[in-house]
Amino acid sequence: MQTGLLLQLKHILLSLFVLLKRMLIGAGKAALWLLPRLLNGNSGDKLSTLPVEVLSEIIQQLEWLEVLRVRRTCKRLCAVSRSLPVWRGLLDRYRESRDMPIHLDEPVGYYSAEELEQLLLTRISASIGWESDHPTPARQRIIPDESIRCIHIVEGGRWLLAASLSGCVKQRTIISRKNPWKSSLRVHQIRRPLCCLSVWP
Amino acid sequence: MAAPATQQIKIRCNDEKEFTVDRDVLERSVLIKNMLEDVTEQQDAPIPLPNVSGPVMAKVLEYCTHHRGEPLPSADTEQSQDETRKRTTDISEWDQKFITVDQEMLFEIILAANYLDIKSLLDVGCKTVANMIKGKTPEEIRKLFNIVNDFTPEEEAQIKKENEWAEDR
Repeated sequence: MQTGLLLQLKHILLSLFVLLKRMLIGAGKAALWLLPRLLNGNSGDKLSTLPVEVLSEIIQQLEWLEVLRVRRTCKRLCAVSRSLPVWRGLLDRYRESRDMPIHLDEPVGYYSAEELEQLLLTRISASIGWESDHPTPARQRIIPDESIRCIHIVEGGRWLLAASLSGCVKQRTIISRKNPWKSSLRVHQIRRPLCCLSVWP
Repeated sequence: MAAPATQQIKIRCNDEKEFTVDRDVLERSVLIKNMLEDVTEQQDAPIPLPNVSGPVMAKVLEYCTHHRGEPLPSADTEQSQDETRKRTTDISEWDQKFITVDQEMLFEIILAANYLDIKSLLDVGCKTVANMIKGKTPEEIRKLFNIVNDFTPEEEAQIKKENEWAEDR
């Protein structure tokens, strides 16, 4: 009987202890969150406390690289940097400044901010590599096939034809259907065509 | 003074500071313009502006007085398309001088312009902040505006990784 009581008491004490521990950890976390804010007074930080619509106006004035940098400063600015008006604006400006079109399968209004960002950044990173004096490939795929004598990129940039010694012609898809910059690849833009290939039906 | 027909309007800020201003100057603010249009008879009581303080209002009125008589941007789509194009243009010399204030005042002006709905002034403010951000690293931006980094180290690393290609070119 007495041992039962003692056991119960032990249980109660233990759960109390666990509760206390949790509370302490919680308080610690809160203090960790609060302390820098209190120390900073947070009064200095006027920018990230502006209304979202104003923050959006400010970020819409930035170029794409600056948008990516602002994103890394704090959570609130990060959220605004991922919003639709920001990427719609950047896309519009990019389209105006370049004569190369960005192909969209759907009307622009159908795309989410994330999709537009992906689309534009893919395009920008591609054109950076394209226009660079010392281009370094972002991705490289080595196809071990020693019998290939020459290759040819089919106009439109989607297909690569490879002719082998044995006389057969292999075809590979080099750009996936979803890839938005397919329309930017043209045969005449390939700087050094490796070889010419004629295909007989 | 302008033509005698110019109506004078009184406004009162949140620190009890009052201003008496020509109606056309005040009407740069779409908020006040709409307020005045709703009131048919002449009122002597000042318009209360609970979100703006005296010193900030004085600065806003300086802007409105300088730009009085300029056409207000209307809300139709053609105009807003024009605006996006204007976005890339710079701030005029007078506006630039006008907005050369400390950060505290700059953000107060932006908030007031947003509240009073003065689109062109809001634009000048936002462009100025954007110009301050340009060319800076995330750490420099935080320092400039006293932004507290509230990311966990893991989140920060994740975001940095997302678009690393953009930085190391």
